[in-house]
Amino acid sequence: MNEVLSVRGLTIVFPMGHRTIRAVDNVSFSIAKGESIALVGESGSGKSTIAFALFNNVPQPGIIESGEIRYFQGGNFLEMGQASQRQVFWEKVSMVFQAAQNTLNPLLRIRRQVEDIAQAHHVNKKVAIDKARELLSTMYLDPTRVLDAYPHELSGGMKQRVSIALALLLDPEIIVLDEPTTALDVISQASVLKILNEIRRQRNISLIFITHDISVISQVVDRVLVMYAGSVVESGLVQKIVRDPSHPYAKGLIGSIPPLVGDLSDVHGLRGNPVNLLSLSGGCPFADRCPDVMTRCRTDRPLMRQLSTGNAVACHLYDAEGEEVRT
Amino acid sequence: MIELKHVSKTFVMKKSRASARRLLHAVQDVNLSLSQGKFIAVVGESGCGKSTLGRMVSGLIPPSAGDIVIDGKTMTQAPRHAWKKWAQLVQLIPQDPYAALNPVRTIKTSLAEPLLYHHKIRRGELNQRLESLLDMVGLDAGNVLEKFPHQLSGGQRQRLVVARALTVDPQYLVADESVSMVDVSLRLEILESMKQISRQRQLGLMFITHDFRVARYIAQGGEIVVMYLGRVIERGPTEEILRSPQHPYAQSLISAVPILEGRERRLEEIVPRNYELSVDGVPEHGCPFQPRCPFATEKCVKESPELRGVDHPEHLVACHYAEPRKLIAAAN
Repeated sequence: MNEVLSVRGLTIVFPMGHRTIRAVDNVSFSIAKGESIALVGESGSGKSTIAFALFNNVPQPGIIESGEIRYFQGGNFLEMGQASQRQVFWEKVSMVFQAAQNTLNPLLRIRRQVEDIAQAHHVNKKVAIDKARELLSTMYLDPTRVLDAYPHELSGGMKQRVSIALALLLDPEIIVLDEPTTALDVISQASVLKILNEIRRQRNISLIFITHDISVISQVVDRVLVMYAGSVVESGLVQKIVRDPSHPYAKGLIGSIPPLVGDLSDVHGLRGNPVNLLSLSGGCPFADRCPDVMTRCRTDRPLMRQLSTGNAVACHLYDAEGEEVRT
Repeated sequence: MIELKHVSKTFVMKKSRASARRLLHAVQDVNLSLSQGKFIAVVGESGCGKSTLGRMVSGLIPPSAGDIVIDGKTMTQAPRHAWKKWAQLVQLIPQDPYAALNPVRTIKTSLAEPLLYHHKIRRGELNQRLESLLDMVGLDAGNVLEKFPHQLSGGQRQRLVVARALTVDPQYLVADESVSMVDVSLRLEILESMKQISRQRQLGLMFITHDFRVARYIAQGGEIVVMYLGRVIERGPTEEILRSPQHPYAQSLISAVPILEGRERRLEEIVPRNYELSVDGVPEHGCPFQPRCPFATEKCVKESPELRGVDHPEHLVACHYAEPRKLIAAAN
């Protein structure tokens, strides 16, 4: 397998007065060339913090306490000098941010923003514009109109597609997409997802989605990592997780998506409030909301185990052999 | 019962350097009725007029034409002071729970105001009443009442906004995209409690959304109304609309819902010719959806289709070429 990114034991802490919050706790995952994965979790699950860590740019006052990030089987990205980091960043790995409307400079025409990127990365401007034209038309946009437009002249969906085009400008091998469709209307959202699926197939790019809504991305990803309170609680192929989730949190998350066909009576919301990272004890972080909670869940932190279904899960309901424990 | 009779709303867009003065027909000739105990979901993209419709139903803005009749009384003809009564009958749950609560007031003040303003209770009974209200939406009064909005989570605020709408014992609720700002994992619990409360109190619920998943869930056993550029283009019983949508726009909206891989599968997909809704390009004649419609013909450009009945007696469609399509099935 041609691994393009490997994250091992990533732990990120935020000092808050005399206490520290573990926003990301010992997270490991990897992604192969052309593969698409999603980090799914609610606010406070640490998914966006991981996205920032991938660029060694964790917001203040966060500190990457331990772990390593390797791109293209190279050295630890976190220990590289700024110059070497920059060679990876944007040229090999780029990012599409949440609410793309805010990432385009409102005072410059799109053409100028393309030229700025070209200049910063020592690419010929004409080459970059030609490339941008080609990319914009694959995004179902009219290149001439869009290049000469200011961001306010474009709709939300168009701006989002422009920022995806800009992220592709330098032919990266990995794109990180943080909630790429939340601000969009349904039909624009469908178009953005369709485009992402197309570029993934055509260009063999690896995609990393960061989202709270698994129903939106289930068709554009191969694998899913479900996160809760900074840790991965379940991971596996998207179809397996959607059809047959193992962790009670993943079950609750999938069970709270109202289906378009079939029975609505098994649809129930997840009980309880989102996790408060300040009040975590030594046990399973989901214990307070878990419908199947046992006494050991309050004291022992469950480890990640491989299940016979192919998914991996961190839950005491499953024993070391990956069999379900029934008490 | 609330009845909307040929209700329209037109906004005058002021002349500016960029554009001439023009009229924006946000809602055009809408007929609807909402009775107590009934659930209706209004579905459409942003700009289709669904929020304007909700604001008219809740008496926040007057219609430009047409009448709104509540329990036989034509509210739109009534003098302005009678509209206070309207607010007691119909309450709007706004979209953004972050903007809807006054940041410098405690939750208690925010909730007490409508109760005291409408003389629903005496001051002495206030605490008890607030406790029972908060309990209904699943919040702990002791924990919440003295706090300010910024001390609460998004889900808690959303519940509070629901509780505030319930303070005056309304008979109808209009919920405008009421869960779109909340994490998916918490959405369903709020929808569940909204549904349960409306059922217990026999409230008429009009739920405005762009998401067919939410629409189906909330209007289960009720009605779905699909709007496009101010007009109702399709309406009918919820399951009937999802099973066999007939208008190409309703079909595009259902096709745009991301499929849950492994649970659902797509049988057919209807893709509009243009991904963006352009308010400037509203055709003056003919079908409003015709510029984006993949099936549009010469007839659609010339003649505006009327809402007419199809197979099912309560299923109405405004399309010259209405045709049922099965779009989604359960995965096998």
